[in-house]
Amino acid sequence: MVYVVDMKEGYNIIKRITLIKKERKGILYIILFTIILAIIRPFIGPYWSFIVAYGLIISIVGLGFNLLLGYNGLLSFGHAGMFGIGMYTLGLCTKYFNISSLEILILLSIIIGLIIIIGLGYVASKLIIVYFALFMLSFGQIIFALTYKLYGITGGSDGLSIPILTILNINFNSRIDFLYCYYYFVLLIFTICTIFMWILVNSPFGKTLQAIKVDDIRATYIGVPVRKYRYIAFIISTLYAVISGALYGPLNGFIYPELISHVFSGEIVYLTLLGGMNYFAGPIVGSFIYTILKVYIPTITEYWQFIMGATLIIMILLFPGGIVGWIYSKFKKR
Amino acid sequence: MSVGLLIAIFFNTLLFFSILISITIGLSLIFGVLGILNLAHGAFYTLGAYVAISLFSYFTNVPPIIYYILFFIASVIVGIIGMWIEPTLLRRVYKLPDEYQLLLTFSLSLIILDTIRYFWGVMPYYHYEFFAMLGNSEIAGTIYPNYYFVAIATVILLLILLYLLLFKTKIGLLIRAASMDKEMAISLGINVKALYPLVFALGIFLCAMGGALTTPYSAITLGIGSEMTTIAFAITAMGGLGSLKGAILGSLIVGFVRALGVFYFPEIELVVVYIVMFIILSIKPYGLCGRYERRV
Repeated sequence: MVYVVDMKEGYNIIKRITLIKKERKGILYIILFTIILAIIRPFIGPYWSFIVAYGLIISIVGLGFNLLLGYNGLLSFGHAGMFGIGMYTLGLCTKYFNISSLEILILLSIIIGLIIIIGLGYVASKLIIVYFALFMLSFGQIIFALTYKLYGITGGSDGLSIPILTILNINFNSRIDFLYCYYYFVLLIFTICTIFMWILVNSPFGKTLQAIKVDDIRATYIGVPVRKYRYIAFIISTLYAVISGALYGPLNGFIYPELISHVFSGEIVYLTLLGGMNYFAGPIVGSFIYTILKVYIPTITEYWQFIMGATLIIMILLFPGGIVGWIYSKFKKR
Repeated sequence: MSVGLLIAIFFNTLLFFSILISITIGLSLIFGVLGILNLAHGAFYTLGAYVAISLFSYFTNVPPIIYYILFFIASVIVGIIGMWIEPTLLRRVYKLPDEYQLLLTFSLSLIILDTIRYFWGVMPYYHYEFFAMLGNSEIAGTIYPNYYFVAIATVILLLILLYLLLFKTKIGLLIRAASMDKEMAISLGINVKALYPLVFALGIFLCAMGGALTTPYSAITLGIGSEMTTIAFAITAMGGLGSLKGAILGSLIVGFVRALGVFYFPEIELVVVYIVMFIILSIKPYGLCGRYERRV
């Protein structure tokens, strides 16, 4: 049977994304967090500005990833591929079309990302968890292989360097000046993404997604169009990864295929579990801890993957709630 | 194109297909009985190759038959490691949701790969002695190494042995019963849990054999498992998880498609495989021979 996505029903589902009234407090916390980060910027040097901006960018992909894993029970090993699509769209547009306006580049990445996601999601939303994981894993590997092997276009393992871009038509003389302004740009996008995600998971739409996670067969029986919900959740989740990838390029100034190998997909999974996958703040806390770990662990040992794997096993077997879950349980007992 | 070249292409495809099938059969066997998808399969494949090459460099100047036995010894060693991992780690997550099992095997693969890096380093390893020892033969004017026939024959031998094990012995009957309907098997008094380490070790053994067989003709690096298992995962998804028929059918399709892909689009042959997977999964979401099973 050919399954046609009914536009009207899809629209009705999207209409259900409205914040449940008693959850309004959460937005205040998010804005407070943003204001704190905005105030501390002049007091921390360029090094820590870079690290905080990196943490914010990784939080965006973590939030998107958690919409699938924590709120819908689908594990994706392909978010690095999505990240790569955003990253390379931006990189290739600066190289071949000489666009230097950041806003236009990000919009372009989102549009190209959406075209790919809508096609991919049509198949991916049909699949159950194990098949979905396999499907996304091979998708991520394909994007990696393409960026690696199409040497003539992407520069292969030599990578692509990204020039200093302009934000709102302001030119920057040095990378440091650009970084200081870019920090606020990333913070703005992070805030928009986080507030939208908060509204999403605390809306009737988000609650239905969680119902699907608990039992998809029962959800089907009570009349939930499971596949359409998954389709929309997939589109939003992977779009976050694309946005995050597009933001990463200008920050680092240099992109190369190893950034988006399956190890990075694993790292996204890692930070989500570290923070706590059943909690909204989990991926945000996780990505900041992960960023700091990634800065300091290479100075101690070169076996970062081993440590990642070992802590993952410990988290799975002993602390499935992650750091946020652990703090939460301590808080509750008192 | 000469006849000899066509025959060479045919045997190359057959070689690729036999390495692939040793990986996918192991994956399907493990999924069928244990109900988990082993994402660490690529790591065990790499481990098999590294153990084999260490044994080869330890035993030098021995007759070919000893070399041949070393393949089996290397794979058995890796299989025993698998037999030890199943009760210690995997057994703890059977009752958790599917995503935890995937995460556990994924972290296992990270640990194994970094352990290999610790013991063997990052330099590529070569071992051509066995390959050179067997010499070449000439088919219709094209020189073709004898080793390839040995590798293909080994996989065929293993498949026959596996068939005999599964369909002609008591333990094979139990394994098939457990993979067909686990609850029914348990209620009939079969100790299914006792089969788990054995089946896991068998799957790992087959996969390590695939890795070991590649050592005489290619350089061994840490990344060898990555591309092979990506294709193997695509095949298992295509053929339907847990179905041996699906694994063989999927390997056949991919072997054929890849041969065509290498011929027409050499840059992006992986993408061609992926497009086939995309089409099959959009028509049959549970693969060609898969059946829909609810987690109990």
